[in-house]
Amino acid sequence: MNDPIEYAEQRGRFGSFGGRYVPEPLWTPFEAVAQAYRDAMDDEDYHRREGRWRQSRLGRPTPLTHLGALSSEIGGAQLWAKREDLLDGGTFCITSALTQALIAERMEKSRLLGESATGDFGVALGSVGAALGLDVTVFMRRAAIEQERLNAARMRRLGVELVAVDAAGRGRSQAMAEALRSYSISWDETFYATSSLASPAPYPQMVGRALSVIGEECKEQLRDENIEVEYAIAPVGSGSFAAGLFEALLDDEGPQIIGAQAGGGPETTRNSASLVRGRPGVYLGTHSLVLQDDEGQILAAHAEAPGLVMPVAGPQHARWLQEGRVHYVMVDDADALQAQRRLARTEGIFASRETGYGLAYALKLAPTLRSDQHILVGISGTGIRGLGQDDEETDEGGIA
Amino acid sequence: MKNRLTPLENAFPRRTTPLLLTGLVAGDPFLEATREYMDVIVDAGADAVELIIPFSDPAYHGPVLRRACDRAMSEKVSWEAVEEMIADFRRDDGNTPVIVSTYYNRVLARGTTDCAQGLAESGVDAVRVTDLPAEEAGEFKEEVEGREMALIQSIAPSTTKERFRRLAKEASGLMIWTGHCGAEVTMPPAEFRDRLRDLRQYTPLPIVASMNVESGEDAASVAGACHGVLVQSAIAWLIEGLGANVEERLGAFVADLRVNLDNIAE
Repeated sequence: MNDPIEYAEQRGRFGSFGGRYVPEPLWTPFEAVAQAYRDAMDDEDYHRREGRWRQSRLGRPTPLTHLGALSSEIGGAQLWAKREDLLDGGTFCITSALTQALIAERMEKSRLLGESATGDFGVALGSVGAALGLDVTVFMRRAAIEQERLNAARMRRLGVELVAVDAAGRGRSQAMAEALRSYSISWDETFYATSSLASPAPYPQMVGRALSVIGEECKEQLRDENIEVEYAIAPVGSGSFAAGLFEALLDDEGPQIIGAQAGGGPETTRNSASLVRGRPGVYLGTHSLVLQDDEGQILAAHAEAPGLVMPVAGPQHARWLQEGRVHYVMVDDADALQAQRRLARTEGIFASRETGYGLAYALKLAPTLRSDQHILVGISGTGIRGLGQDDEETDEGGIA
Repeated sequence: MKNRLTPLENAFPRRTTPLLLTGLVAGDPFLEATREYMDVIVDAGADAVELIIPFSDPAYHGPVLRRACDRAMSEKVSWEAVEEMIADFRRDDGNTPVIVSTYYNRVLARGTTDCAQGLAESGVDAVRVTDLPAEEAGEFKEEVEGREMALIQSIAPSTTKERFRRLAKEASGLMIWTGHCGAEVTMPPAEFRDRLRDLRQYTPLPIVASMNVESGEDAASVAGACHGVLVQSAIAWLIEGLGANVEERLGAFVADLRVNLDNIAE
């Protein structure tokens, strides 16, 4: 280990962030995953197989859509959307689930075990697990299972063993804790798959690399359209989707990149804006920016979009923030909801609630730009998951 | 600063009875009670006291200790308050080792230097950080060991022999075998005994097992294969039940552990 950079990479560092902060029972299992992942990255057959699956099973590449009607309505810049809602399962999650499942297959594991906050990742894991002949177990908070009935039903149809976690609050971390506990006694035959970019090494590297295909496709599609974007914007909870969109666009000549975090609103100080309001700390196995009090106790995160409820972001975001390469902003819950609705009404694209946070910021920026300038927004998934969970139409005089 | 674990460690080959380490969640149900419980368990025969500093998300602890941490959270236990309590204990008891354990974010929030300094000054002998593996511990390990405290290394069923040998080289004080996950013991007794017999060849340090011990018989059965036991959840469970005579029951429980451990040495 003479090369400090290689050493840092092997330890899963992103500058001073990242790492693998886990108790001893998990160290060796995760080291084995790291080794299998490194081997896969050096194996051309692996990359070919992953590429084929992405294309023939997942539906990649996803389109880049010009939001012409919305751009005209707002005035100013042209809006473009990267459409992860059109993937199999309707969210970006399946791209990350596929990579993790293929690594599990290489390691000759027979079961995928994961945690899911909204069920989106659980559905994705169920799909790829079924396709690869792997058993799938997903831990989810009981309250979340009850709230996300559609995803719970989809998981069951896919043969997922859904384990309800009875936990007194504090978001998804309890489900993750239960999943890790189960993993630590079954890792001989089990692969732990994470839904969150804020995870111990090698997961941020593995998930970040898997999802970077989103940005790579975008770059090519923008080139085909012969346009350069001024801004690229995506919502950030733990930041998997955003990291996937941003990674390939992060060069000096590229666009200004913006991560939109749930900032609550005028009536609440509660938020999920770890990269705006957080401080460096270690949580969920990684060193990153964490919402915490002065004593180092983790603060409960809040967002109207369940996928963004995280008090910590993936370590690459902490590094990008520190290096000034990405600008992180807070967006009000109400603005995000309005943006999501406007996209549906104007463009016929019913996107996830999470998408609304990035889009809301884009809608503020667009009028400040010329009509020959461009903004790229990421659509993380479809809005179908959230249907029926809110009284969305009542305040617009529509269906009561 | 005198390191009370080192004498314990040095004395170990001459010891004829297994070590009894007992854990308390600091501030469960409030700090003054924890201070009293420290006396009770030491009087009943504990060789060392571990104080678990509560963390909001003790993800790697089992349900009993998570509930104990939840109860202690409402007390908003600060480092300063814990240190005052330990200093007070030290005024009465200059010998019994005190181990402080927590999660790394609590250490970072205070700063690694201030944290190590504050603990050393209050009379702490060793520190254990649940989510800080040896590979990530560099800076804090120096801070802790530079102040003559030990940074306790855990080992587990998943720890390979090669890794154990590497960890043992750098370890100080004692090593703790975390042979359960939450409340589930993860290795059959015979395999546990074989593994421990094997590992003990590679370190002169005592290996104390945390194996979800719930009774004197459990303690004796575990300690037969190693150098002692660490008992945490059974004590938190007893405190959770409270009742008027909790101190009496706590003392009786620890005394029973002591007797059973002493018996296997005879």
